[in-house]
Amino acid sequence: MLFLKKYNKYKHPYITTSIIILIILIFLSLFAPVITDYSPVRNHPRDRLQPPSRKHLLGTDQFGRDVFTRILYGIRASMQVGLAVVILTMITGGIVGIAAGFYPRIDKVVMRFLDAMMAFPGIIIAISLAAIWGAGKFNIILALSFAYFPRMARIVRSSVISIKDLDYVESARAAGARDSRIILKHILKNSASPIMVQATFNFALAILDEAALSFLGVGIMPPTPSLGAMVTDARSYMVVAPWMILAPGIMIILAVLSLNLLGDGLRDLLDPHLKNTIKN
Amino acid sequence: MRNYIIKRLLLLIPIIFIVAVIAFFITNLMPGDPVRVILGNMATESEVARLEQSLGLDQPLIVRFFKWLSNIMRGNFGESFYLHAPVSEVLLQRIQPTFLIAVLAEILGITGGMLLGILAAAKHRKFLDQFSITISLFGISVPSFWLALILMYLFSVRLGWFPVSGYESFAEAGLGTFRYIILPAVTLAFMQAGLIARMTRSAMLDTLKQDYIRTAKSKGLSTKSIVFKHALKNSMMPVITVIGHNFAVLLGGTWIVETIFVIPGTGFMAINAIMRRDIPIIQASIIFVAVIYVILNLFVDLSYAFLNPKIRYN
Repeated sequence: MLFLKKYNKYKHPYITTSIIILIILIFLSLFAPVITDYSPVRNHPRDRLQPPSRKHLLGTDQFGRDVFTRILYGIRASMQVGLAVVILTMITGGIVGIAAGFYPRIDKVVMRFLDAMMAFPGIIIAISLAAIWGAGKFNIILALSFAYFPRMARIVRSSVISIKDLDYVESARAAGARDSRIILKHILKNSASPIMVQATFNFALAILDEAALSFLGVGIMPPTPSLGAMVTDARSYMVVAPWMILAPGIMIILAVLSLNLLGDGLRDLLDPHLKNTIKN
Repeated sequence: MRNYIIKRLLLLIPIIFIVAVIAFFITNLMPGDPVRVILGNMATESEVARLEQSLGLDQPLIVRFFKWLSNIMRGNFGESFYLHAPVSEVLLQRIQPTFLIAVLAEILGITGGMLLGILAAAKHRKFLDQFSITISLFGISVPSFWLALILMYLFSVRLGWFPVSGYESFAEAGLGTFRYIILPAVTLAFMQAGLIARMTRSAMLDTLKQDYIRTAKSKGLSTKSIVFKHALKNSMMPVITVIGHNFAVLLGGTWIVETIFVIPGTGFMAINAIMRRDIPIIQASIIFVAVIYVILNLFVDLSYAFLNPKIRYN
């Protein structure tokens, strides 16, 4: 991988810090059942709304469920959604972007459609689609991917267009390479950097938007733990149980912040010129 | 220039057409029969059939689509299933709070973001730079619904400076209206400021590397006059682009903050309409947001010509 060669953990403190935080978060979410003995969904009415203590590190919620436990499972859901959305947008955005960039004949039609899609705020498309397909993890993954893929497609397209007329692609074609070989071997490999940077920002955005959808009640449905839905619960108990709202919010910020930091770091590392073209 | 404007205006037509197509099909594929939602579980088959007929829902999708399209081209968005009033009227009634929140948030976001960005670039690699990077990174990483609740808790519940929720229109409350919209606007401004600060910083840093800045420096001009007189104007293009592109994020954000602060704007109306399957309202809200975004970005493109005389659009 190109970026591993350039990466130096001392020279790129942003990347190093963010990777450490992300590894910790992934570890916490993977080993949630080992780290905590409590169940994220079972109610203990007698222990309801307990402030943080040694028994309940971050207190309990209105059903007596351990907030720390629910946060671990919540970040697990966030990570699953984020990762799935990143993979789906890379595949769909990649295919559409390559098709549009490589074949000028379909470019115009596809671009008009993408322009129109980009006129809708991502969260609005996602809310509407989640309402159509119904709530649930699988449906919000599809809804968010649908909302994000236009931007990914545009980035892939512009990268393909800038590469496809370069001399080495020309010479590959002269040597008799087929389209499929040129796309896979030359174009995809050389447009990996902007795709990876955008994918990192999409990951961050997906965690934020999943939380917002679950908060509004069209995302992951209770009692399954989700950081956004935890904030919805906490809302009614803000005055008597402030720990309930602080913990999930800080967890979201931590995850999104480290992903944005990683995206910034990768962008500076891979291609300083990307600064003005990729936005998150 | 005039030809360019006309060409761009004509290009809006296919985009708005596709926007309308997407809005129609998204809303009409919603599960949950709106007729059954309106009538409840106790409705008989004949009641359902009668209401379906009066709402025009008994016709095939494609027939409804062309009817609907010809109606909206004449400015008729249909009638709300619940409020029994024309959608355009309902939308106009709710536009004031959304407009005020969006404008105030944009003003706060641009001021805060540009100040942070300029400061960071002027003090590159110093404490202020680090400080501004951190703040703007937080700005784009904090979920707006969470920030809204925290601000509500601090400033409304604890300090009692602002009402917890609700809204009074400009006609009723005069300047008192701002007490209701300050917190929602600040919530949305936070993210905009973060995005704008990041772009301002990197655009300014690029500009400050140019030869003419070195010339200005060696002429003995002060840093202040170099930054504000020479560098700022030349860094504006990417900043304005970011403002235009992220206006969609801002409008999407109004859907969430209006719901949290119970402000009867277009966003709150749209979320409610989605929950109740009030299809005409959802369609109009989605088209409303998209059309505003498209027009705003047209102005952004046109503003390039004023900022950079090299661009003359022929």
